[in-house]
Amino acid sequence: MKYIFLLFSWMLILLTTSDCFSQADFNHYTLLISEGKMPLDFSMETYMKIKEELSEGKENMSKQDAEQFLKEIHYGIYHVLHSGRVIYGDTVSRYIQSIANKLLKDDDSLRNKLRFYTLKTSESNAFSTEQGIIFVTTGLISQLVNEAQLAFVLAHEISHYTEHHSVEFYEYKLEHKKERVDIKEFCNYSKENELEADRLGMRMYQAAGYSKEELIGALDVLVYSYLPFDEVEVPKTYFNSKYLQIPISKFPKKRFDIKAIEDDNDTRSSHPNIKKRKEQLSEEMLEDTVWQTNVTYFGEATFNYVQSICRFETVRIQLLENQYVEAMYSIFILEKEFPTSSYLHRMKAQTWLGILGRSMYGYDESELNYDSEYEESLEGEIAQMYDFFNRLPTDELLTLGLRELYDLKIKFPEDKLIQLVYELGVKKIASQDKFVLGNYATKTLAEIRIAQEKRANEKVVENTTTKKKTKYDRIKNKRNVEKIENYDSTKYFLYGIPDVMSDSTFTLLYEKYRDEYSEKDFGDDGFFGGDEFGDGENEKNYQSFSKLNMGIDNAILVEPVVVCYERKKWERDYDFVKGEKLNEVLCSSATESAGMVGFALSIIDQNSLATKGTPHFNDKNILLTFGQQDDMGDYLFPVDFDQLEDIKARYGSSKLMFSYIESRTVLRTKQVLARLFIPYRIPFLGSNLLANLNDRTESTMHVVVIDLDDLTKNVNWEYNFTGKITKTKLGAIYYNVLTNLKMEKEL
Amino acid sequence: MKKAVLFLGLVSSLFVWSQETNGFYGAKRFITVESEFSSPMIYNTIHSGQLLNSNFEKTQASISSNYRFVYSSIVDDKFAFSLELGLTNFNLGISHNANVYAADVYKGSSFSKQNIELSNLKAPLVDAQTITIMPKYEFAMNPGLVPSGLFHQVGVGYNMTRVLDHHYAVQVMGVSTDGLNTTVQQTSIPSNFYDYSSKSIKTFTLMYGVAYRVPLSKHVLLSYGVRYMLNFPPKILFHLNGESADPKSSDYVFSTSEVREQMYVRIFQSAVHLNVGFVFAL
Repeated sequence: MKYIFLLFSWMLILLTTSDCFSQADFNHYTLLISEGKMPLDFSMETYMKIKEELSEGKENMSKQDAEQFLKEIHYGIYHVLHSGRVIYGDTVSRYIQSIANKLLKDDDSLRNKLRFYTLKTSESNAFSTEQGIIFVTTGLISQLVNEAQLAFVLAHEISHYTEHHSVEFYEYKLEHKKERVDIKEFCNYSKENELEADRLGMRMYQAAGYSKEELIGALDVLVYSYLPFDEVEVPKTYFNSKYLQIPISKFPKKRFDIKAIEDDNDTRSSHPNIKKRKEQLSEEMLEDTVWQTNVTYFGEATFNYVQSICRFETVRIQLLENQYVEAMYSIFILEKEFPTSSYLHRMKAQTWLGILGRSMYGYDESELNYDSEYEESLEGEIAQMYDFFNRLPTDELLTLGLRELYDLKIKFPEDKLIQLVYELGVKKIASQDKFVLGNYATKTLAEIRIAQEKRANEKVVENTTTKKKTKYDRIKNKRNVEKIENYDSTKYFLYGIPDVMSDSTFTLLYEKYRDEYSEKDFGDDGFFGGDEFGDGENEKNYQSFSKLNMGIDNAILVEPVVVCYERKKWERDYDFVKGEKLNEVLCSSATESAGMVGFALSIIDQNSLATKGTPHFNDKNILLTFGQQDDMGDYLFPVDFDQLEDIKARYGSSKLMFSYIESRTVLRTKQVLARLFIPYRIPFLGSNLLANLNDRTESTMHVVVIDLDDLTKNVNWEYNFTGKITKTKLGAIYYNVLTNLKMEKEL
Repeated sequence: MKKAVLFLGLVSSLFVWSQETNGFYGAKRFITVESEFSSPMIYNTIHSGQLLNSNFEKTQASISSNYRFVYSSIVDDKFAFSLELGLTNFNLGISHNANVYAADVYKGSSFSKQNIELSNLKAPLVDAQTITIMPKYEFAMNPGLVPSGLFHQVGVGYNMTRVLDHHYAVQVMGVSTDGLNTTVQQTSIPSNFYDYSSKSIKTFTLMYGVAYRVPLSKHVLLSYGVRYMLNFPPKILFHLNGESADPKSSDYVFSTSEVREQMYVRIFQSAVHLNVGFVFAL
């Protein structure tokens, strides 16, 4: 009986936790994606949500104010939900939900009402919305110490929701709309709400049976969350390898203090400082002595597991946000626990590629200003790494980057991503004048020393030979010996990649990219070639459709959107409803035009989420985060390489197309009236009026085409047009865009 | 011959377009059918009290109308080249300054045989019609979507205007010199009112216009706009010393040269035109 009970218990534990362990192997970590049925928050049109809620009415608010409020909260969240960074039903969201269920065990109604989603960002934050959504960031979970701390954060956010703090704050703003209220007063109001959420959250946390010891610790997380998720010293041998040893002198000699304080000036902050929050909670804790001591209900292993997922995701986000040093430091921490993780190796290769790129874009050691402001910006252990990379001369940095990429390439010959990143790294190095191939030794230092000894022996032998040397023989002989003997320790890096130099595949690849770079005509506009890539400041520049010529007949169009700005009185504002409705029009006109042109266009957009479901949503998120990277005019990091390969295969296209329209309503009354005072323009007032009345709407369509095979933006095109945006007009533009994409590029 | 070559050149240029033209839904040509109206406000103001209707009562010149057919070829993303054929109907006052001798009037008229020394001859507004051939360039403000959106148009037109034979009556007022000194007022429809078979009156037009075209469907667009016309006689360009005298002028109540002068005045004072029509993208 006892064994049956034990077996039953074990099975129960396995069943309840198996969901959480769907990703047990961090050595082959795969991207965290949404799972299960898609919530309405994602699939329902926002203007429909507003309409629905508006029909229910809002207490204490006029219909107009209620509409404005609903627009603000819904469209504020709309951009978060569709940012490509929010996921649902995944391991982390389910874990958060299970802790929330624990906190709300006595309130079924609230439990069913709230939704918990994971927001992939390196920022440490959690926030709730009036709609009943609570977002928790991967950055926050990466920083927390245990489940209890996460429970307090959730309890705090749930309290914000139950107390309707966002509605109250909106009403408060409405009440003081006409007064000149100091921002400090708004901040004070907000701080009151925060303190109330702390108090109520603490009660909820306590009722769930969590330990009071962990409560204060949760607030410490907020103080130091701007630092990486761990504070570990980077050994000065971290970048050393068989052939390349970085001199210790290259690392900063001093340590960088952590400057965060709990009692900072919060007069202009929406949150009270940590000291005040801690004091309040300590006082509250004294009032009630009945506390349980649970730190976890779901086990420490589960928390650690979820936290590791979040930390892996943090590395990905850091890379996507071009935070290369942060990513390197995160990898350094995670490598200790997961030394054989292929995911980390892939991320490391891409991080090195990013660091190589930094050297190209103004991170030259000679341009950095090492003043007190620079010193002030450095904090904690990660600052050692920052300072190291900042001060390392470009040629040394390039050598180190090449060394690391080459080692990864040799170590993982089967890994397509690492091979691809290595090639991109060589391409980048080949475009650097500071990397001079001829300067590098093809022999190791040991080999040079052996040669040196051999030479010395030969010298002795020569001295003993009967044949008399001339003065010139002696000079030549002496110079040859000196060449080997004169090892310059400041040029240590020149001896750090002999194996790479001896590898003909590298030299061939290098020469190929070097030749390509030399032949490249940067024109008068510099590297970014103002002609090819639109100059954002000069919006009137017309880029002809022929710039789109690529000779392709298929693409994946990712979330085409229209952003409308409307001039209300004298202020510009977003017209979200119009924009959202136009999104649907944009998709249908693109589909129609693609049919007319004979262009195989697969559209991944939010309008079809309801019908296509979670897999479609995941594809959209992967492609959005990939395409939204700042490529710095170069290439994009294939952080989700396997997923991108899968998408390529499923959609039968390796071309990603992004298109969005910015539309502005412009009133040019002043300009037209001004013409009345210019005599020679008066006759043309009629035509001016005609032009201004019809073309009050100015729009710009941006089209970006990315090649998933070579990770570059093939097309970055802008098109300005005027007049009302209609389906017919959008269809005509897409018709021309797709027609021109099909045309071969002129040589 | 020269004219034929010029005309052929103009027409053939309409069939030349770039293979990479990006018109509205891939359009490479478009046809415009438009009507244009202009109110002769300036003309009516200047000639106030001098213009008469068929009952010889004071009136005003009515709105002139133009109907035109334009064939356009899209040259590139921004430009289109068009050939316009237009027909304009308008009124023309010719009597306001018409002091003629009775002897001139008497010929072929149905006046009674009175010896009228001097007659003040009045004629109603006459109907005139202009045929215009105008090559023009259109410059799109929305490149790549020709012919939709806002356009600037520039053209040089060749106008041929003639007076329509609508059996106009004339009225003569004068004093008889047969000793009775009676005031004579006679109305008739002279057969020699004007030499309708004479050559049409040629003028040139410099045109600048702004047109706005709203897509109604993939192939049909609504067009409306405003045009500024500067009409001037060819003598400004070619005959600085004036035109040759009309040998047959003495045979008609109104001579060709006299009507031509009035016509120049009339069309020169017609500057602003509003138009509306449909465009068919092909």
